[in-house]
Amino acid sequence: MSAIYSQAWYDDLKRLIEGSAEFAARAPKERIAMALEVVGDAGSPYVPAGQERHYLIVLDGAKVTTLDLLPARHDGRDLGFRFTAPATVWESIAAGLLDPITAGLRGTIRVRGDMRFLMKNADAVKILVDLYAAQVETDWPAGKPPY
Amino acid sequence: MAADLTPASCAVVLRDEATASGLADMLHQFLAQTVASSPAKARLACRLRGALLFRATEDELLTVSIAFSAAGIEVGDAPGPDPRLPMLTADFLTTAHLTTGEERPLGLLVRRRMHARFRLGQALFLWRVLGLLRIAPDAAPARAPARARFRWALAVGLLALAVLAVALVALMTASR
Repeated sequence: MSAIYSQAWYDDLKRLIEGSAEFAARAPKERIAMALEVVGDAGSPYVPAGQERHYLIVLDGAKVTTLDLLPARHDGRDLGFRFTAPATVWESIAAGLLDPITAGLRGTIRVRGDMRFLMKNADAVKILVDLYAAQVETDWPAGKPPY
Repeated sequence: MAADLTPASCAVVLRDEATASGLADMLHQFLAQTVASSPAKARLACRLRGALLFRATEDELLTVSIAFSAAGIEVGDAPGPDPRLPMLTADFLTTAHLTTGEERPLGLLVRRRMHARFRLGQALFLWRVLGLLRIAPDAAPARAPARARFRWALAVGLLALAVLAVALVALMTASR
């Protein structure tokens, strides 16, 4: 069990993605880079208001070639997608309390990028977000949502 | 506040961008990118007149209107169903499969994975909007159009030969 936002947690997620036969069958053939932006808010004990965490995830086929915590917001160059949401939203998804697709449709997760690519690879996207939400073996050292 | 991502000829704007739902925001990006990527799609979008509603099955409180007018395309959140406007209701995956052509509208309606409410007079408009939303398949190899032209030329040539042969036979028969 790994703590939320720890490198080990993301390594677990990477293993989960790369171990998914369903994702391997549906993964886009193209290399795709995504920025995951966690915006701190008063509700989160992990990323307080005023702080941000920026991750870069690069998928090449069904392989996660990069999953890095960035020192600052990605400048957008060669970026396919940008997903931005408050920390409590990402944490609620990781805790299995919030459906990521519904969060995206409501706008609690802001999505920027090539929507036609997103539509063409909707099955792969659905598998990815389900994997993120299914990672229930999470340690919550400062408390688990709902807060 | 509205965001315009497309050339002025067929502007796609998002109404109340700051408070727009994710569904409205993503539909806006999708339409703007579709229109910007293809002159044929842009022409089709510019010619459309009317409005429709799109509702997400995942959250039926989310209803988005797409209005086509001479000024362009306006996407925005709607308060809910409007009996005067045609409405499509589908979930994210179904919508995606519809846009990629993986699923046909009629099949989705029959299997009740998509719900459509419209009057007979709105059917053509709805059909044309679905055509606009359909993502064109990846560009075919450059040889394909030439091959298609050759097939047409061959067919026309064979037809002309057949007509000529029939005419010759008719002439020879008449001259006996």
